Amino acid sequence: MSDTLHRKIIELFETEMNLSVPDATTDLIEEGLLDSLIFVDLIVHLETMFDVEIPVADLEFDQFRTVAGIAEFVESLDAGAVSAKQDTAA
Amino acid sequence: MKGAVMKGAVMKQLIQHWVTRQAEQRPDAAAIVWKNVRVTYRELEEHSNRLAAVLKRQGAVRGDRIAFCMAKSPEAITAMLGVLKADCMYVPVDVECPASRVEKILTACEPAGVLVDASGARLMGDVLRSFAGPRPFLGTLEEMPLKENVLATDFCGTDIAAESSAPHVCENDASDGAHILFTSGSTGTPKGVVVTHSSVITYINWTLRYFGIDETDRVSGHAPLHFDLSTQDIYGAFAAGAELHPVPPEYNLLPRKLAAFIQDHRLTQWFSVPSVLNYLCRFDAVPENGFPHLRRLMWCGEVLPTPTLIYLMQKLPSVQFTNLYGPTEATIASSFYTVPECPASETESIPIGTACDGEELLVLDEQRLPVGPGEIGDLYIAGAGLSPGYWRDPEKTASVFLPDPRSIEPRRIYRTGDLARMDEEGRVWFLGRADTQIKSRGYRIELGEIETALHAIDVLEESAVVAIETGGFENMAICCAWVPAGGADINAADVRTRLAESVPRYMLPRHWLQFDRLPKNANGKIDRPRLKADFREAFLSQKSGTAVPGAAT
Repeated sequence: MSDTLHRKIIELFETEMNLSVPDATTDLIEEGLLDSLIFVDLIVHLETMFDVEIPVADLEFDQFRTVAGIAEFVESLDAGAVSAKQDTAA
Repeated sequence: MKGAVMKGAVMKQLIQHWVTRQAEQRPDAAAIVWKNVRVTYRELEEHSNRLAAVLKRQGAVRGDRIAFCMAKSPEAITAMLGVLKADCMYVPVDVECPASRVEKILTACEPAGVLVDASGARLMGDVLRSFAGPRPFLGTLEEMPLKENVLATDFCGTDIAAESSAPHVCENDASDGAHILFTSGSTGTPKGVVVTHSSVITYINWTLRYFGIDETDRVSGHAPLHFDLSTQDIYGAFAAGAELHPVPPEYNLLPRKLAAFIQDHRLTQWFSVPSVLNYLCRFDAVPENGFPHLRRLMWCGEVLPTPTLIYLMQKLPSVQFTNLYGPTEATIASSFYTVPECPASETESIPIGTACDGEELLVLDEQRLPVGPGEIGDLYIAGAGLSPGYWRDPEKTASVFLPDPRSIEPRRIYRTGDLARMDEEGRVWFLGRADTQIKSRGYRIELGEIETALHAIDVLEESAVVAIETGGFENMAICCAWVPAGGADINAADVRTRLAESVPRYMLPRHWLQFDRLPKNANGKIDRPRLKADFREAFLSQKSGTAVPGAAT
């Protein structure tokens, strides 16, 4: 379940933002993959893909440090909506 | 007699002596506040004296270059001062710079020594292991020698701590170089701009007078250390005896955190590139009447969109807003304009203003004769801020540092490459570039440097780079059109990964379009206007990632 989500987010990085993320535990900030431009794109893409609203005001660095962290964060936002979307996608 | 020796040194006025003076007068005042650490002027003075002693012991002599590859930190700033006290020039190297570019920088400046911290150690180790030039000594300010996968260091923090903290008598003159900053070069080789003590002193003294910066100030250190805006933050704070509050780079990701930083650190001065301000605006991160301690907000590096300026001026009615303008070649900034009142319309433009003390702005025609008021011409800068030129590159230096057509003295003018006009009141207005250099997030980028790097990638048949205006917070978006070589099974992410091996991250294109062949004009040249139109059509107008700043409010 969360593996699928990881793959989807890694795929989103690759197809929408042209970024190769080695795996779900790669530190995106330390590896220099995430900057403010990409970050804005990422939020827009996550909101579209998972049909959620990301509360930008309350974000913490660690929620975006890794693909695994992003997945966990997105799931916490709206578990119902995320799994529904995944089911239709599968 | 030590005191007398030191007084002599102080009277000479080099940029490190601002710290020395504060350490004498207000030793326990904070010089740098970083995360939970408060570094006093005495500590900064003594630590940098010790480092200078080690550098000299390693053989560094007057005029030598010492590169440092360290994350933004009090240690990195100590390293700068220590290098200056050893009569050497520092060369900042971004810890995120690709290895091939670091190698070019080291080849160009031939450093006698290199300083690293944990974050720069592996990069420098990789570069130095295969470095063809003379092998520099390698040191770190970290307490213990660095880990195995790195070249052995010649000294570490423990060795520095064992040295004397006595002051150094400096042989340098104010006309000597203090540092070399490398900027984008159109042929793919970065250009090293030599910045002298005297040009920094002239500029910093102007900022203290004009802005009234004093020891009650808490100033931001937002710009990265390899970027010349940081020179104003660091030495402006030290000259005034103020506190420097370096901003950790990860704060750039989260606008609310950045706003909280300004608030929590009770900053009195903010200085950054416009993209950061656009980012704060786009996320509406500035609280109404927030930042109660903030006295002044300055930006430099590119045009600040007026909607962002209006947003900020409405939110922060008691803050002074000043636009600064100037290339690294003329030291930090050469002109200024303090916005007298909130612009009435979002389409109003803001001038780059009038020259700072000791500087002069000239708008000239092709014969280098002044154009009339309101007429468009090339913008030149003359005066105290001018660099002696590019490091060991007389040809490039001569192409832009020209003899002043007006005077008999050997005075020089610098051709900025910017187009401008001067109005009847003598204010200068920036109108764009005369070449393909662009600004993105405040960084100067030669599109030619990116193309040169792309041409070296073997899986590409053809490639071209253009920039389009987005109206978003990054101003110009870099776009890459590419054609894979026959049979190459690659996507844009692969090309981007390859490109990241040779150009810095801020030069990586944001938008990518794959073509079967690139469009050509009648002369067989790549049709760049057509490419720009293609990118505009493909990427602008659809998503909120490129929304106009201010639209959110």
